[in-house]
Amino acid sequence: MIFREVENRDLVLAARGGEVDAFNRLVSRWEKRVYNYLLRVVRDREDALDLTQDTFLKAYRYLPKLDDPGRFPQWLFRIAHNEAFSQFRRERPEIDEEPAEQTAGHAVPVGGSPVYPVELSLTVERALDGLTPEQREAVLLKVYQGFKFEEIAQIQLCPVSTVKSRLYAAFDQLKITLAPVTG
Amino acid sequence: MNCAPFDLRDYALEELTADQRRQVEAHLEYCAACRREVERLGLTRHALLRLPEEEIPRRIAFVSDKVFEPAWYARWLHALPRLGFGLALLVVVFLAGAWSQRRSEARVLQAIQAVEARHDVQMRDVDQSYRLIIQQMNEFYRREAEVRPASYRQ
Repeated sequence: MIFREVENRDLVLAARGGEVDAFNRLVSRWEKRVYNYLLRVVRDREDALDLTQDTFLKAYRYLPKLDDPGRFPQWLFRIAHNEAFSQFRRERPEIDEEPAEQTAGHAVPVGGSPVYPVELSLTVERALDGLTPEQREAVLLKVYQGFKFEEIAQIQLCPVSTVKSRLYAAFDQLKITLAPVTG
Repeated sequence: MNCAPFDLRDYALEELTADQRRQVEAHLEYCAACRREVERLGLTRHALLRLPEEEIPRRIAFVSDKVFEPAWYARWLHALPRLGFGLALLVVVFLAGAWSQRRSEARVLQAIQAVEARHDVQMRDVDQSYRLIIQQMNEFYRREAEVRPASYRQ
């Protein structure tokens, strides 16, 4: 992990120095993770793909403005977050307001029968869909991307306490919605 | 709610320090309710991680690809400082050239004036010499006329 961070920093510095190949390597390294993050936030493959491209375009353009090259992953996901939520705002202007409670507490109808991988994936997807966009994003950044609370706060541009409450609420809900498949 | 020394969600989400983790684990040794809660959180996390990552349908463009090329206005915008510098350099070169030309013209003019001044002095000397010669000739003719016989004068 430390080795990887050093590599990211080196690649960022090299890309800043004009080495095109260094940025291409950063793209290769992060494109899948960024794409999957955006896919689960916006839930549309084409949109996720376009937003991933835009994220890397902006990252390339603003790379000289990145203060600490070692924090490239957080910075990249911050750009991806902005791209995703800008799209949300374009499509649903009410996103700035507190999102209404959605399907909180609804049990996923899988209980009893054995759970196959596809079935499990669908259940998890539906469980994630039941979260508010901010809660879902916090779960994605924590569980799938392995960011710390503080880093998520930087990406979501909110206090650490807000990240904690989003994650706690999300997990309390997921515990219930995923109970049928977790036994 | 739980009776553990730290929030069990922080424990499950790996946000506790090594010492805090040890304290929670010591508590879990004798608290069955917290143990069940940690297990539920672990299973939830495990279920979430079963969601497979998708491959990207097509690769993201690299910097060398056309999509990374800036728009024409962006290219102009980025080129502005360089254009400005080039223009300033041209102005400096032009001004330096003009200044240098004016200096050499002045030097040539100075040289011409010096030659003319020398020429004037020389001409003045020649003029004086002529006048002296004419004066001497006039004197010579006057004296000759005085000594010449009267018949000859007629």
